Amino acid sequence: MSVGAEPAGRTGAAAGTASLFDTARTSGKTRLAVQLGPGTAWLVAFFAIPILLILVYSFYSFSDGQMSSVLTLDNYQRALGTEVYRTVLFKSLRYGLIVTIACLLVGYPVAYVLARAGAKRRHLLFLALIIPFWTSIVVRTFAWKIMLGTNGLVNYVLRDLGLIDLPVKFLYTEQAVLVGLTHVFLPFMILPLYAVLEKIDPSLEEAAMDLGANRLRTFLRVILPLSLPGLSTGCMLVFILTIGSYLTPDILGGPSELMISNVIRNEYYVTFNWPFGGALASIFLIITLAMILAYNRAFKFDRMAER
Amino acid sequence: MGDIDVELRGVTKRFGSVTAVDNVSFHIKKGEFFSLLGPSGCGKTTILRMVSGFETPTEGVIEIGGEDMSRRVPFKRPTNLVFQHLALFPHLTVYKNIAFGLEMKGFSKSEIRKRVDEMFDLIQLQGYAERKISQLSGGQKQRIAIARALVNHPTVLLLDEPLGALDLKLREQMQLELKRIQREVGTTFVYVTHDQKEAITMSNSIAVMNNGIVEQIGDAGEIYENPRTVFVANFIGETNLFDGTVSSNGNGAATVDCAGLAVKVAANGPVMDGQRASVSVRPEKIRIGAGSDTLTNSYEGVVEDVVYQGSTTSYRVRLGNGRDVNVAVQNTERSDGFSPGAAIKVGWEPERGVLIPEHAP
Amino acid sequence: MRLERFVLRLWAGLVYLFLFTPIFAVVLMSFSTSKYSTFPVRSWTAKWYSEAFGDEKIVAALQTSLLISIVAALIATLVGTLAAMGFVRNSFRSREIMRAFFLSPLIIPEIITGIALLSFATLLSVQGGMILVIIGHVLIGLPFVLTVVSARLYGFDRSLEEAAMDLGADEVTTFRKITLPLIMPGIAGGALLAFTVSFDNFLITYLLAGSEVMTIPVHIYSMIRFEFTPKIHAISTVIIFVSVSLILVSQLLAGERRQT
Repeated sequence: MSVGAEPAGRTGAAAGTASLFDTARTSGKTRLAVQLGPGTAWLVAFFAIPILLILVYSFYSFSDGQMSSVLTLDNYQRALGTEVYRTVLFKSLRYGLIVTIACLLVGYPVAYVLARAGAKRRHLLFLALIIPFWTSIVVRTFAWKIMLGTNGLVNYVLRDLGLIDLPVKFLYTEQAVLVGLTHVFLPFMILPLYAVLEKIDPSLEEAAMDLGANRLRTFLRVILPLSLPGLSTGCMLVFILTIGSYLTPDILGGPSELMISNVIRNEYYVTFNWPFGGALASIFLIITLAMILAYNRAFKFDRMAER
Repeated sequence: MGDIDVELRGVTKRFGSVTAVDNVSFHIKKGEFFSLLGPSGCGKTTILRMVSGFETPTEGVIEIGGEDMSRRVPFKRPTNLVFQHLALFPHLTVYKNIAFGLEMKGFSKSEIRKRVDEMFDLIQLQGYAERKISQLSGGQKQRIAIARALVNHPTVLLLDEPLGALDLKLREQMQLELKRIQREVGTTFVYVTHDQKEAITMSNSIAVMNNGIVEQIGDAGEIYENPRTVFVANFIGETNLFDGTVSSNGNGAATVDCAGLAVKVAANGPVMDGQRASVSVRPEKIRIGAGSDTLTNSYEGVVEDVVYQGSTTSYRVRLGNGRDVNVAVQNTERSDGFSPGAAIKVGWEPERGVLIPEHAP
Repeated sequence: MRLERFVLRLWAGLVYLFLFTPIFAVVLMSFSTSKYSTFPVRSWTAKWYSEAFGDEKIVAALQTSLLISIVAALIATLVGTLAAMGFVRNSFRSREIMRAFFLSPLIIPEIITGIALLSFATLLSVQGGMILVIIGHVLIGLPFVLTVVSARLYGFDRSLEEAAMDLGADEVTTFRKITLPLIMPGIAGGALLAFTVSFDNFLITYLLAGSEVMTIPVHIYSMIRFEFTPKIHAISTVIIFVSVSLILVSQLLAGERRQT
């Protein structure tokens, strides 16, 4: 308190309480520590340090089933230099790309319909959308196993319609995995898209058309640019979640559909080669972080363009 | 000191490098309706928040009822605040909202009931006790907010532009209502507003603020008729300002040379020849046409613009030196007045104008 | 115009069909007498439900799941609400970075969170098990609580607190009587999300549970992989039903959120 002419004897308890209203004081810092301390401690101890541990182990050597603290780059050489692992990595990225595009194409019109529906119907459709969102991923993946099995619903319907004579083998194929992934992650695309589309004033579309833009140009020049923030969020979420999938390739795919998460898990739990698994995980982590950083930068560009 | 409720002495408030309130001193008498008037960002709300205890003055002393409040937390001050957006508790009923302050002070249930009921009578909203806040209209919310503060019998009731969100009609109605309530309870009201009409209608005393300082304090008539700064003259009502230098003075009169126009004006305070000064003349104090050529200040001009405003007609007249003056004429008789392009004379007596000497920089 | 709207709506209808058909298929199967996931359904029965609830392992897994989810949700809600207050009510230089850090478990792949905690536990010679699983679940529940409670706090009019203090309430009373009741729907919504995230989680649980701890998603997984039984259909349907109920509750809370 920098009051020069402060009357003596007016401090004490009252002054202590008064200081609570001044954020720059020590009491404000104590309060902040109480508020953010537990969360920060939890995240540092159980998240940041453990992840650093993976990074450290990825430089350890591994022989005769034993990990030793002799530092080496062999794990990274093997991870990036071996055909099998490169294939798995690229396949994960490729699945990520395909599923993202599929979710975008499938989901955008739905988000638009949702955003333009009347209040009551919109609420109902929205509810219907978050039900699969919050249904256990194990159950949903299992559901596709029922759908795509030899005696599954899809084969039954196709046979009933006379389109096929013998059951088609859908399960344990790349297509099954991609369909399953699209199903699991579609809501992650639709929800952020819906959030931005809902905020776009419908009269903007009318204004564009009034000014002579046809429907396509109205979409390309008005709706699409305005929905970019939601679109980029949706794409990033779906891409990152897809490349990290474990369960869907495990249940719906065959051995050649294994993705990076499955391979990392096997290194840790089957061959117990933590250094090599750690190297794979570190590469995966770096790819993920790079994606997020790129997204952040792109998104800030968006904001600048708005100004 | 017994009849003074609030006193500020040399109060300054800085937020970082910004000085929101700059060495302000004034006092408010018991039972007064006192308005702090000024444009947004002039520091009026900061003063209110310092009086209520949500900000601490960087320098200076605030006394309420003769007691120093500098180190007193808001919940121990004898003031209550009606918030700009009212801040009624949405999860409590109307009754619980009004009773909140009394409950905090630990009054008995029956005493609370009695005093809240008195409030319902005062604001004329009997039967609304169990309503939810969201079920009230704008005007009703306003009254509840006032009741919630007044029920605590504060020494001073502080009001932070509480009528700002209302539409014009309701606003005028609430102004009268507030005035009535103040008369009935006799509590000192400190009212913050940027609306000069509102301040003039309601207050016994007005402090006009600008850039963190108090430009002038006085009753409505004094502030309108005798503005002491150019800012006050401009901010309260409309005026014509003639800027120039004093060319002669003496015997309570002065002449200001304003770009070739000699303007005579009554001078109450000391002025010196060569000093820069402005003369403020309200549009309704200027005569136009017949009879204006015999006045002390009399000038030739051409009507540029005529705006019929119902009870008055407003003329914009270009004088010989290229300067425009605005003249408002009361439409006492149905007449055609003047048309644009008409060559006429305008004039006023020296005592109709106000001399505002420029402050030494 | 009409045709276009029709096509858009048809498309949306098909997508909803795509989203819901698999879920309905599970429900249908749960009432089928067939021992396998076979279409069409020839005859109907409810016996798989009684068998599922008579299965000790399933019941135990359900209990474990509930226990883990409740504890994880409670911790995440407490820690997350405090953090939300910290982020919304203060401004400090590293705020945005700290926020990103708090939200990061949402985006870092679960396999990495899982093996990271496994490595950490092994380093400290801690066996896998329930505590480890709860620690992991709190990590992924926290971002949800933080987001939902923050939204509620951002919408909170600070002058309500000032009004309470102006009327004589001290800081503690103000928090108890004004702040807490008004952000309660947000806290409850966050807790519900944290619970659901934990209850549905598969991968982190699978990686950290060890052999002793079996939650319901992990148990269903092992039944799918290793010992197929039609009880899966029944218990899956139960889980779908629980999810739908939780969503309806959270929507009611959100409705209250909109009102105030």
